[in-house]
Amino acid sequence: MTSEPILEVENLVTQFHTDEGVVKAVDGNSFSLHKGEVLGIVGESGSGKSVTAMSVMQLIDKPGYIKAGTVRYKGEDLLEKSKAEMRQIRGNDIAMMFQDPMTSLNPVYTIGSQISRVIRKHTDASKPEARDRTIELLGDVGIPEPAARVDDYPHQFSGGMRQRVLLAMAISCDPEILIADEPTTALDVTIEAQIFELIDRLQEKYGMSVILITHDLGVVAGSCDRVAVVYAGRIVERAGVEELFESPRHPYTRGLMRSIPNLRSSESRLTPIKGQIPDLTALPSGCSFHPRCVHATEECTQRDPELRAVETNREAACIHALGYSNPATTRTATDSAATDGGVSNE
Amino acid sequence: MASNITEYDIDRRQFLALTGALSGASLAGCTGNSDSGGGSGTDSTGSSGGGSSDETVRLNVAIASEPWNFDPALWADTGSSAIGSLIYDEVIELTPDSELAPGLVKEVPKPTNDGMAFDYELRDGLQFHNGDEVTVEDFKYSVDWILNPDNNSPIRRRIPNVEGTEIVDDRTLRLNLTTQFSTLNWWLTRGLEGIVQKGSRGSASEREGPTGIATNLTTDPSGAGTGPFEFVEWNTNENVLLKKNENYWKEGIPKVDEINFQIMPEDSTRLANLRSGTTDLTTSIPDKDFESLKGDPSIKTGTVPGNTTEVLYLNLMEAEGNPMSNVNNRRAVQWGIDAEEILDEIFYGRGVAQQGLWYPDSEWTSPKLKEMKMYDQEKARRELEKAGNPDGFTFEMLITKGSHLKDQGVVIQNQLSKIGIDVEITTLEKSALFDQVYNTTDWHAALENWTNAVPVVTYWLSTGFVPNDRNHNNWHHASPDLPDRYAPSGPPAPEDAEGDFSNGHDWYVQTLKKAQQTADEQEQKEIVYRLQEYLVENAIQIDIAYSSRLAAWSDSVSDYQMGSFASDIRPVTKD
Amino acid sequence: MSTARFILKRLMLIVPVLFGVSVAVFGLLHIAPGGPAAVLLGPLQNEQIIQEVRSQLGLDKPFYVQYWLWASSAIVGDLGTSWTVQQGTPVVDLIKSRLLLTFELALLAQLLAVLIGIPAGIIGAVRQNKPADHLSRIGALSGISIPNFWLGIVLIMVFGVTFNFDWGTGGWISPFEDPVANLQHLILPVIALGTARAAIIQRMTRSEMLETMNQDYIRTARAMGISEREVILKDATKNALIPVVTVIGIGIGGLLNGAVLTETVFNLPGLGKLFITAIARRDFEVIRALVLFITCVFVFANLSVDVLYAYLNPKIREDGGN
Repeated sequence: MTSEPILEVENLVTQFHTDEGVVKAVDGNSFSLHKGEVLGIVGESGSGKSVTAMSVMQLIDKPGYIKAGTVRYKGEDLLEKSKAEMRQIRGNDIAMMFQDPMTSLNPVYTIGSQISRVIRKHTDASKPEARDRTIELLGDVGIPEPAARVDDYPHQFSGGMRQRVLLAMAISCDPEILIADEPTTALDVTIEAQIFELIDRLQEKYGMSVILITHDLGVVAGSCDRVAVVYAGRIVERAGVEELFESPRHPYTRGLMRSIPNLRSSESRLTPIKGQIPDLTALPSGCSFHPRCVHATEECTQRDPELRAVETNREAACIHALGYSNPATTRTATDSAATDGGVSNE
Repeated sequence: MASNITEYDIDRRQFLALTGALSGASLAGCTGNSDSGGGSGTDSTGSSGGGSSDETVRLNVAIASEPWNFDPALWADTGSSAIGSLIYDEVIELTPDSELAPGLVKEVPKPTNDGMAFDYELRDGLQFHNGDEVTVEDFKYSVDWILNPDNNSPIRRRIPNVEGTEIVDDRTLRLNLTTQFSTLNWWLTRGLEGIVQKGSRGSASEREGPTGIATNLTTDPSGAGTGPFEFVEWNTNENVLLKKNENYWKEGIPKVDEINFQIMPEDSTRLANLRSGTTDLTTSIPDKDFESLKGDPSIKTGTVPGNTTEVLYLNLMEAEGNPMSNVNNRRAVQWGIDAEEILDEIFYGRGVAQQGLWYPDSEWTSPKLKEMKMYDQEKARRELEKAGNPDGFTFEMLITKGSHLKDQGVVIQNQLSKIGIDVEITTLEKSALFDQVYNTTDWHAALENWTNAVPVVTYWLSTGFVPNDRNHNNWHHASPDLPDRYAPSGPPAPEDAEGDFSNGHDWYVQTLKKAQQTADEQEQKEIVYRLQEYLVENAIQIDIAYSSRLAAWSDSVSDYQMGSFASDIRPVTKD
Repeated sequence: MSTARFILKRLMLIVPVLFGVSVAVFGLLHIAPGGPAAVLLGPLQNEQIIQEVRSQLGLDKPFYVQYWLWASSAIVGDLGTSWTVQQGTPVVDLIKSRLLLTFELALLAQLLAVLIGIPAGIIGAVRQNKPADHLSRIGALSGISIPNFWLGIVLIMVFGVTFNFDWGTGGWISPFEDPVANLQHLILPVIALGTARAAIIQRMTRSEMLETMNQDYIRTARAMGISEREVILKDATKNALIPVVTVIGIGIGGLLNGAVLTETVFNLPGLGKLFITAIARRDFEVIRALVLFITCVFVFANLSVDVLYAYLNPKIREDGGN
């Protein structure tokens, strides 16, 4: 896609000052979202992907704070905006939905009132108008008999239904950008499919751009146009979705790929990436991934690799990025069978 | 918290000048004082009424305990008679100087009929508050009602030895006695505290509630009294309001237009009200607060020696674990208590240490007791040896919760520990304590204070000692009126006693009766001395000290007459 | 189950509760040492007279006979006449004349407690660990620790004595006679009584608010651009108050308790003072009637709290119906 970017994040740094130390949750990330595209942000839990999104929305609270960076939306830096201005934008221009549908709705108000309130906050709709719109939205997201259910309470809905309600709330004011933070993590696989299908449909209908945050590569494969892979607070690879899956350049990405179950694989076991994600208050020197990286060299412990282009429209943050092809198809001469895990497809 | 000292067998008169009148309070021939001294009414200066004629002058008096009722025949306590005495008049009054004065009668009579009767002649021109004249029939009705056993009047025993009444002429009532009893008039100052109209108490069938507990006058004595103030209203827990009787038979009093008794059980509230001026006068003041009141320029204080004794009752009966049934133990405790120290610590030096039951300076106190050293640790230790526990023993002292007696008990505990006697203090709610002490044998000692309102030594020797079924110290002798649960108790009669007595109590009761009946003052004195000495030698109870009476009033109030046995509020004025 | 049925069902529970309570009180009074006759007539009174009076009061009958006699008239509203507090006055009259005062005192104290406690709790939570929070926490701790009768005495000393406000030393005037004076006289007692309650409510509200503010739905509201003020006052408060309401309701017992002390210190002729007098004087009729009355108050209070709770918390409402 070659549409213009509507959101450009540059060198975003967000840190948390805790008793254990300074947590560098987002360590200088940059990415952009283009109009009409679905950008996936992938990473393990604790990698900082949610914090990135929350930073964009400026929902970060003590002890965290956004230390540096710019977030350009429609030409303006959101980080410079006042609180009142940001409130205008949240829910209105940029909307976010979270991963815990069971707890993300206020139990003592009806779902209808919760959605209507957002509508009336950002538009000049009257009460009955907002209510009508709410019913319409509930229909859009697939709630059966919306007019009957608009006055029900959250506990009267299942998890999947609640997520739809939250989705309805998010799109209620026609936002340009929808940020979905692991929307289906708490849901069944079958519901998950429905939700993504819904998001797809709504995206087309309303012309939204979507940032999809997930740890599930399958979701990425199914729904995203472009992907950013996050590790330990850093974006380590950016690419279009097909390119990423075909030839992941960063060792971490490749490790992730290998840990996806593959029906055609003759291996009976999954191959996890050895080691664990680092403590974000005490990152390893040099490349954060090096302790777990099978290709790590002496240089990796010293140099902190930046994200740089490895091809057109592809970036990876690894000094060894160039020169690796898809491990699923080939093996290079320098690979050693044992350390590489030795997965061979076809 | 609430120093709700409801004292029994007390009347509202409270103060006595110690030296003078006590000696004068003799037994025989006391009737000679009929017209002397008398009320403060005749001394009051000039103007009648009080304050400016436009505004109602109201005197606010704070009291600590609620009255129980407004029928003089039912006053078993101080609270009721303190207020009631303003609504009614006594037949015979007790002045602040502790002398007899005629109340509703023309003069204090001497006995007639060989000492077997007294004639009481009513004054002329007496009116009830409802306007009716007071007649001799009303007088007879009032006395007969109390004497009638069916009415269960709780003050029946305050008119002892009277078998009946008889109308002699249209102003005179005769009281016929069963035996010679020269001190009757003194007893009547507490026994006949008012005359009510014939029939006003209601008949047996009309009355609601149990007889003897409530009469028609109990809660609403409107129009029923003859006294300087008329009843207006009683709001329980709040106040009792009285207004001036414009037609009072005594000239010149009362001076204030209204008296409002404010019922405040809480010490600090009373004092705060006094300081802020909401209260004009109060006599219920804890000793420690009295000191700070003395320093307040807008408040005047007064203190006189009192008629309240701090006393340690002792259970004389043999009972499981009761060390007090042993006379040597009792005497050890008696010699081990330092009354002067108690007066210093608890009462700021006010009060009089006792040498036996009666006032130590009086001619009616045994000379032997006057000489006796009451605090003597050596004597105490010797007693412990005689008792068989030379290193001491332990006993339990009961004390009413929330009273100053607790502090006193601690001082005593301290004193006795020096000779090896361990005191365990147990605090109880007042009713529970009374129940345990007067209804059971399950106690050792109880620290109490007790007030007697009649300034006559035989009255003191009688009340709380004589009744066989119930007295302060479980002191009993074998007789038909001894309840089943009790056995004879206490030490034997003295060796030199003439006659056959089953035990000491038997001897005591008989001997006291003789004293009350004899007309010879010297003989009486000797018997009285002997009785007092017996009490101390056997440590029947331990009389520690007389505490003083305290009062405080705002500087706009004057002419409050304080007395040791009787105070007079009638002549009070307020600016 | 509709609200009406729910309430009705709960009201019917009053009967066994009253029965149980009255039997317990009866039993306790029966066992307690001392009795109205002894108290009335004095400790040295003739045994025979005391027994006479006891039997006239019916105290020599067996326990269950006494209970039956009392209960059978109590049911039709005849609670007897006072024996020793104000002899001969019907107990119902005694209670009626004091009801207004205690009710007013308790109501105003509760109101004060809520009006101070809830906002202070919200402020403390929102400005957590800032000076405002520390101040209100210290205030709350003092409020809970300071005994209300001590506070009352201090208030009297300060306002009544030092500043000489003549309404500062207690006393009471009916609101129908003089509403202004009535409120004046009640200011200090209400402060003394309400402070401890306010403190409890403040702490509870604060902790509930802190917990609520961490909930996910708060995050949702903020993410939708709702103003912080609305988030606190609308989204968070309604949730936080649910447990606070229950605490308030249960605390009505403490309020009545405190009323007794407050009435004593400030010299207010209310039910509390009546209760104390009746107990000291062993006036069984008054004690029983008051206990019944207080029980009813409790039952109603708890019932109201439950109804309110159901109103605030939709989940309960629905469950009640299933």
